[in-house]
Amino acid sequence: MSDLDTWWRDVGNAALLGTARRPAPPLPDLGRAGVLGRSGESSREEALLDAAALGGAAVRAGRRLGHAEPPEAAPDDHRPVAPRRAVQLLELVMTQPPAGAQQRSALLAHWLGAADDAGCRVPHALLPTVLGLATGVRELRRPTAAVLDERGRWLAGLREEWSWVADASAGAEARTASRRTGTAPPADDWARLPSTDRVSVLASVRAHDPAAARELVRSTWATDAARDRRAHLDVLRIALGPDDEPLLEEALDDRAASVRELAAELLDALPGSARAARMAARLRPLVRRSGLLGRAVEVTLPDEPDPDAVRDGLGKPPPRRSARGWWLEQLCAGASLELWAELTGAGPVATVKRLTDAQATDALAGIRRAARVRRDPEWAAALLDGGWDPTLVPALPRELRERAVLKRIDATSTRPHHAAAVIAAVEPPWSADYSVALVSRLRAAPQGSAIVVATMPYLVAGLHPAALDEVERWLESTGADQTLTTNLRNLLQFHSVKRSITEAFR
Amino acid sequence: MTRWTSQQVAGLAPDASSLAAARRLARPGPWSDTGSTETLLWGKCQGSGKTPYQVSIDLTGPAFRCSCPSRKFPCKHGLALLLLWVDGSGSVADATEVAGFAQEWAAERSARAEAKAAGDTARPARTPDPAAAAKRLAERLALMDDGMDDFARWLTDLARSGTAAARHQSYAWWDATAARLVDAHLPGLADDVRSVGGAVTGRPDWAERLLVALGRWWTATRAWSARESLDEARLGDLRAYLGWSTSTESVRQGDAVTDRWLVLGAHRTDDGRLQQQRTWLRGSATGETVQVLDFAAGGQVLPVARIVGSGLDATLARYPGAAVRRALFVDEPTVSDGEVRMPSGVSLEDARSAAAETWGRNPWARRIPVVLSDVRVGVDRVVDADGASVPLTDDADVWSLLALTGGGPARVFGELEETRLRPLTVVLDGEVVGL
Repeated sequence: MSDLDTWWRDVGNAALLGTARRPAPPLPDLGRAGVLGRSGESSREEALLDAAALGGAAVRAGRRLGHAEPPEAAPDDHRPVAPRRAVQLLELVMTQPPAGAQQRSALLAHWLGAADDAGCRVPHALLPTVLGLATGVRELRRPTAAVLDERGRWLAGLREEWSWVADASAGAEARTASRRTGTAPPADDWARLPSTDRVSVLASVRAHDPAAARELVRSTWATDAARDRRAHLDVLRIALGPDDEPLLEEALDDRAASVRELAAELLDALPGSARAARMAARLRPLVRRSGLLGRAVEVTLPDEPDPDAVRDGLGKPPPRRSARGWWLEQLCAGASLELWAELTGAGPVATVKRLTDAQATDALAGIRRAARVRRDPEWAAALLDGGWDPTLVPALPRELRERAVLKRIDATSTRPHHAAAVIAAVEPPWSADYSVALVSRLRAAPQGSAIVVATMPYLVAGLHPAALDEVERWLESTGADQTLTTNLRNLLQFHSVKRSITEAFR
Repeated sequence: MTRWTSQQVAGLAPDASSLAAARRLARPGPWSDTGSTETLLWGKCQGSGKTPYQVSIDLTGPAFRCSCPSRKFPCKHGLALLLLWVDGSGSVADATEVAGFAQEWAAERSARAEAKAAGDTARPARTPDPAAAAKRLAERLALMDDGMDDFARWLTDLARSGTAAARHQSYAWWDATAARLVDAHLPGLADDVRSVGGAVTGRPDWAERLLVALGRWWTATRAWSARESLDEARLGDLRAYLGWSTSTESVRQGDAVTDRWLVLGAHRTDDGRLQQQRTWLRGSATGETVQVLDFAAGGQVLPVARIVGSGLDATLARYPGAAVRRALFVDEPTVSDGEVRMPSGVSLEDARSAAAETWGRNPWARRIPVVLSDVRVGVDRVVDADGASVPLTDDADVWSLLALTGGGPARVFGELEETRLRPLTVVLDGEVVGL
């Protein structure tokens, strides 16, 4: 410690305590500056203040710089930066969402996906904003991680709030490959992927090559945790087919109840399976024709199931359900629907009508589930005749489905929130005809404006571009309805910006 | 001239909603009679009314005029026209002939500028009563003298009882002292007292900071009592610190330099009461760096920011001062055609000695402008090629800086504030990017 340091510390101590208790130390030699203390008399306070003034100036001017290792630089990027026009659109979407703030995430997700498909990265200057937005909106994290490239990953590694990037990036490459070409990763890579990424990789592979996906599931089945086994099995819902039966049949004996339940549920979708035959054999004795003309149907509740039946899914009922009613539902959901023709001698429409006794609710619930998972249009139509059920709508062929929804909208157009639920029943993206028909229906509806407000997310995600002309015409005639005008304009803006983004990456 | 980027346009917007509205308008549909020259941009925008709004933009200011009734400045039409021009899709074509309405305005503007210049030289003629002015000045000085005496007593009391005791005083105690300083026409000193008093309870290094502040305040009281012996420059710096403003009139008549000025960087602050914009300009002939300060309070809007990295041909009048001088534009600058290069920059050690030298000339200088060569940015500091390092200010936009530089060496312009650096501009592959 130099003399000056000691002096400055003593000055500090005197200042803390006050000169009433401790005087300031005498001024040391301040070197080349040649500064001298005051020659005349000065009070203790003035001596301290003089010292503070001189010392403060000396410390400020003479302070040495610290030394530090330069920070580690980011590796070079691998991808080219997104095209100029695309970058402008990204700025626009982030800073001034053109279709309203609610639609920002959807547009951003579209941009990120398009950039990844084009093999591009986010420009460096926009990385902090993109990372900031993706931190707040969970669905944006994966697509963001895919287009950060080295610079973005390096940047995210420096900040605690962005630590999610490391996890999201780990599987980004495998996800990109599986999404673009449906290529299954090598078994070793698959085994090492983080759980969350395995599901999305598996889903992409399954969509392209169901057998390859099934093999991936099998390859780690013995070592995966129950939660992962269930998650992987759940992905097999995509393109489920008879080839999956052996794996599902095995899963009925799984250690984990959650996996067994899911296996049974998936087998409900395979009416040709051995389990379906077993369920049919259990159901057959419970259904009897009655009445003079044999037109009535009587259903008896099943008795306590044997271990084989428990294995097939006749286990513990959900809370507040009668056990026997639940078993009946399970049997009806698992057995082939063709069985009913054999048991009642009637088609679906008549059968649904004849199921009227006390047990019918449970039986119909099972039939409903079977029709839903097997996408049986005939039964779905028969059941829909008896009452609206949006979950059955997807089982109808496109034309019937859209007709059913349009019909339902006519019936509910005075209750906007019901209409919203109806519209939600058709998965996006919608067909051109349906989109056009839907828009003109909404336009004609007395509560059209309120329905648009209630269904914006679906309209944004589902509407086919072919309907935009109709939206434009509607917009021209909205008059004073500000809310409707804003929403319709946002809808148009959303689609036009989305199209621009797609084109910007071509 | 080269067209701007949409980011630059966004920087001119008075608020987010204006920019949003402008983006909706920035399509060819509503526009007619558009065109641009080197310095002027014009067009007519069909609004809700019958007559389209006439929009003219002088790109050098930039300055805006629009016939719409909006009180936003610039209005959405001006921004939209700029966006349309920036877009470069040809909707605003280069033209040789300026549209009538834009021409009129440009002529009015230059006439006004000339009239103002003429007025400035003519003004000394209508000198107010010198006796009254001298009386006002004497009254003011008496008030300031009393305020300084009072402040010196307060400082010696503080020194006697110790800073540890002062630390336990409530903020009201500091604020009362500051209020007395304001009454004594010493608002700059009052701000300093408030800012130190507000930080005393919260910071781990409070003891040293307070000690240094005591030294600074004491220096101010001593310098004030010796003000007769200070030269104009030193008195100017002291006045700036104390908050005794110099009238722009007298600055204009004083020390003017005509040069080609490079816009080094800019910083905006908003403490809720007052918005401030600091623009650093470097003269290419003189090599001197000056700051232009703009203020806006209440509903006022700051003038649009100058484009970082651009060159301005202008005459700047400097306030009296020895180092890190403040300046103002004597007349409206024109954007320079020639290339203006960012200086190559120095090492941190050289910047530090330059700062020490500057403090030697002007102990009140709060911020020293520095261009640093080859510094690498880390999360909380910059490190130069020699391994010397300086921490960043808390308000530094470190994430943008990291994203842009990737930890690689870059030229950075910033303000050295005591021991910390506030980066304002970074040069990457020859491109100047404002933060």
